Amino acid sequence: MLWYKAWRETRLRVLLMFAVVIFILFQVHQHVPLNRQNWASLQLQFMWMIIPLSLAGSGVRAEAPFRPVKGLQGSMYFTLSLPVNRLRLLYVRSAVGLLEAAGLVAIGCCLAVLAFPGLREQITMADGVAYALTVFVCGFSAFGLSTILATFLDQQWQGMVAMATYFFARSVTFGLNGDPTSPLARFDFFRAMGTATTLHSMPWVAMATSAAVGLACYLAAMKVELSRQY
Amino acid sequence: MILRLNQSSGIPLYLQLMEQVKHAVETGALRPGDQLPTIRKLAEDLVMNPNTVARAYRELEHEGIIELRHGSGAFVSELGGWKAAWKSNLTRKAQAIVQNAIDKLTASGLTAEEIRRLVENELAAVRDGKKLQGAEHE
Amino acid sequence: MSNLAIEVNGLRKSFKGKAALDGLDLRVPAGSIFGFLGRNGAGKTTTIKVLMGMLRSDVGTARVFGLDAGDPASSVAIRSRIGFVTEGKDLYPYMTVEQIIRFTRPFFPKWRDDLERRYLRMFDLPPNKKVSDLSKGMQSKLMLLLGICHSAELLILDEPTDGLDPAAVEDVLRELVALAAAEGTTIFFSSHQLTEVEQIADHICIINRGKAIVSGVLDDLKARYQRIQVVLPDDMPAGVRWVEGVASVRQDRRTVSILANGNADAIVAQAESIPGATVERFPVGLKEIFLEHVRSEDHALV
Repeated sequence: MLWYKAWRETRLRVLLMFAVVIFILFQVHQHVPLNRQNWASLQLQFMWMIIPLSLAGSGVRAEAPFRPVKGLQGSMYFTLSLPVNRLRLLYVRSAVGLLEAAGLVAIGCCLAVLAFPGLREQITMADGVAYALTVFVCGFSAFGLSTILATFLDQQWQGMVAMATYFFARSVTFGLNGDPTSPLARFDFFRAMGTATTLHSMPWVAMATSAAVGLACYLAAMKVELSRQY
Repeated sequence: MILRLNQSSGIPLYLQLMEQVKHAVETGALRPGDQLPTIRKLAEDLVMNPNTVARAYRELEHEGIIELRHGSGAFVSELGGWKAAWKSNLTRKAQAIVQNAIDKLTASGLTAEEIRRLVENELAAVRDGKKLQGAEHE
Repeated sequence: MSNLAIEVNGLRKSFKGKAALDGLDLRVPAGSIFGFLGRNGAGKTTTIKVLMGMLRSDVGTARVFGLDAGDPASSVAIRSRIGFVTEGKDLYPYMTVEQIIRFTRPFFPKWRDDLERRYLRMFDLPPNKKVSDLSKGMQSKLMLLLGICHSAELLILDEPTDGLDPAAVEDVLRELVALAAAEGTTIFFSSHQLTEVEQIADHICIINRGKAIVSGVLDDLKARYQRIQVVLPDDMPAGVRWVEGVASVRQDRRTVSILANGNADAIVAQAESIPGATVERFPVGLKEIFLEHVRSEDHALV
């Protein structure tokens, strides 16, 4: 039931994100028919916005107080009274958040391939899946970032702060690293997200970097959560 | 049993309960052999602490008013009945004494309120000087 | 040494430099109904949070069922044996009664389905109604049900009757008493409703400013405390040193009101020895004991 609870509390956001993804996809397609070349730039556009948003939004605190009055009353008081390990609360919410984000990413990428016949000739479903995977893993750093931020900030603000931080980091790396041939470019997961990938050219190094960054942030968040007092 | 307890008076609840049981036996509302409610039932009905009820029952048994038959419950004892009879006899006499005293005090100018305070004061001294049950020599 | 459900020693906890708990001691015997009294902000909720493992104390120990409440693993074990009842708004408002029960049940292997059915019926809780649509009284009963159904050995209630109408209050109190009688459940409840505490508690502790100022068996306390009123013909003779047992003294012209917490006979005797004095004694209820101690702490009268 913890899973159901986590879903129930985030489902509105997920549906909203989904609607936005669909909307942007079709908006773009109307103006610029999708083909292999601009497939990447399209992704660049909406993925930049959507993925950090959704992953940032799923960044988790162990619990969200429903009515944050009197400090930490509200649901927290009840949930913490249950014989459940705090970390387990965090894990379940994280898992649900990640699943939601994965769903959004998959749908975004695969839907594009499915919905636009012109694109389908140039890009296979497998590529769509590959790209989805790339974005997801590269976006994991956003997830970790958002989670660690969630331990300090209120639920409403963390998404925006995470997104802002993400954009800032991206512009920094782009500034440092504008040259795609530079040796550090391999690690740049922001760049990886914006480049159309195929099943055969997955940016593994960038993905690994993102995963490492995300994991480090997540572990830090876990530690903070464990020592947290209510 | 229909009982009325006053939680906010300073008198411990178990004493109040004991008094009311004894009163019930005296007036015949409870007769020897009658079964008293179980501790649990009485506690629930009166919404009071079961340990308090238990204490009252224990003390009542100690005084011989009731017997606690293991497994069956609490019953008014024969002895309790006799004591009650004796008591009601005593009560009738006591009533006469009190009536007399009140008449005299009223005649000398005291109001009902003043008389009541005098009586309560003396009772408080009695209760706290020696335990109330001790004061009832049987 | 009887079995203690809860044992707290020298608990200290500060928030931002202010002490919420300042050396609290607490002994809650198993099977008792324990009233934890204090004004708002005295430290009741903080204490409960420490017992539940939500807060860690700075200094001191808190043990529940003999286990350390501050150790995370022990705390989970403790919470599997505790029923926790607070205000209804602490439940998830969007879930229905049925969903909350289904949510809570898997956490407790010892869940009793028969009790669940019985109490759903007894409390008249509509399974498909959302928690936010329930009245306060119903919400409290639902929380109570959750604690009952997993056969909690200890019920901790944080101001459980706050905001309830008198009928609902009586219902809650009756259930607590029934549990204590039938299952020997230890009931620990914090309250500032003195009449309720007086009604069902056999032990109490009064907390003020993070410290326990009075604690013990309620009946014994009420037997020990007395109000002794002395009316003097003139003002108090100077420099009267009362014998031991005087908790507080108040004087208004020729009336001296003494709250004794022991040794009442000797105090009365001393008072009677003052020429021309009239002495009266009255039993003392919990409200008086509470107010006297709390006020005297505030004004440093004693």
